[in-house]
Amino acid sequence: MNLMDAMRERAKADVQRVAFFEGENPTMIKAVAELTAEGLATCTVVGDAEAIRKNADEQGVSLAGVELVDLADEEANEAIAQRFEVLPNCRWKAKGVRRRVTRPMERALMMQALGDVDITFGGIDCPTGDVILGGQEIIGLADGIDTVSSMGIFDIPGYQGSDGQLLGFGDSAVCQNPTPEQEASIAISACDTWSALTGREARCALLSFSTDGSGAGEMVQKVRDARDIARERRPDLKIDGEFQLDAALRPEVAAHKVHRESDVAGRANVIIWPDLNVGNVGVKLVQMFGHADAYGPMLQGFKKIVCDCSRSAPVSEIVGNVVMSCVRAQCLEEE
Amino acid sequence: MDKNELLATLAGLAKEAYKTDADITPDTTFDELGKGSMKMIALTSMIENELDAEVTVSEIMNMKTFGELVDRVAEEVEE
Repeated sequence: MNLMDAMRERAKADVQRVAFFEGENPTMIKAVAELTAEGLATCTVVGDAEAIRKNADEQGVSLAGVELVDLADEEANEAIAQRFEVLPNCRWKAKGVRRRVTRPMERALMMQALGDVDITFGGIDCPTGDVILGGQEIIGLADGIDTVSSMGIFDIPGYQGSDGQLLGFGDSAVCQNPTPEQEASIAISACDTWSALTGREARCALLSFSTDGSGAGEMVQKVRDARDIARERRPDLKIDGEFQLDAALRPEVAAHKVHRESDVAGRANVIIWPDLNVGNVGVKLVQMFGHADAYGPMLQGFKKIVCDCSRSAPVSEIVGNVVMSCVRAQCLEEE
Repeated sequence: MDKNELLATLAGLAKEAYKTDADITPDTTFDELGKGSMKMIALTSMIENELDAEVTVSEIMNMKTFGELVDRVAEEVEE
């Protein structure tokens, strides 16, 4: 069973509640219908209920089993506003809360903050930046995390790593030039995301052009500082560096270059790019020359699971992203 | 509220949001204050709560100086 099939089974075994806020988008409503029909998620769609129903009719999909939250329902809006404004981390006074309760994305996030749903999912019509800001404002960052970031998993044909063909990577999409604190946050979040999705322990390598002091300078020091911060914040995780890619992944190179004990060197299953230049180029190299499929990238670093998708995502990709979000939400629930 | 009064109010909010005691003038840049989005989120929610003016974080991310924020909030307050 491949990773996605395994995750679909896990999603069905403990169904999570997902709020969508782009129900007037044809692709999104088809994905909602498929997720519901296949028992992968309990879906709530927030917006103009009449327009959402019209969209579903036009796409020929059924909304049976899907909850619609109609933003024209003033009584329901007020009820949510009253519950939300008394949350300890609510940022706004009454007027600001009521402004937001009728905006689809913010309403979905408010419902998530209140525990009415487990996940907020969107991004097919709105920019990733808006989803990230909304998530930061209403859900907030997880404890010990300084930045939102992203993480993905490669499935690389022919690669024989410490976890077979799978290799986690972060961040290739969000944090351009992370500070040491932010890089530590990316590593910590990536370990948690990897473990949630695969059920396996993460061994996370912070990548550099230098291995264990073979190079020096500001760029190397940043990675070393990130390692120290990550270990201090989460001593339970296996995070190490700075390593070149081959020293991180190949035991024989690690044996040659890393002259100390390391539970990561040579057998990393998660790699952290030092910045977004490397991350973007790295992902494209693996995809072009390694012919890899990639799961994600998924947003990470929030207190709860907030997920976005590409604006060109087809139904299958959205369904896959929601399934991964559900599995991650299950793990948060267990914590 | 005149511009000087607005500047003083916004500077007070920014000092709280950015946790700084440094003087904030119209020429202070957001690079100097720090571009951390959580701090900008704190600032925008304070502005909304105190002045009933909604300025988004995305807008602030595109501003260079604090003076631009003062002008933007002045527009909202005047409306």
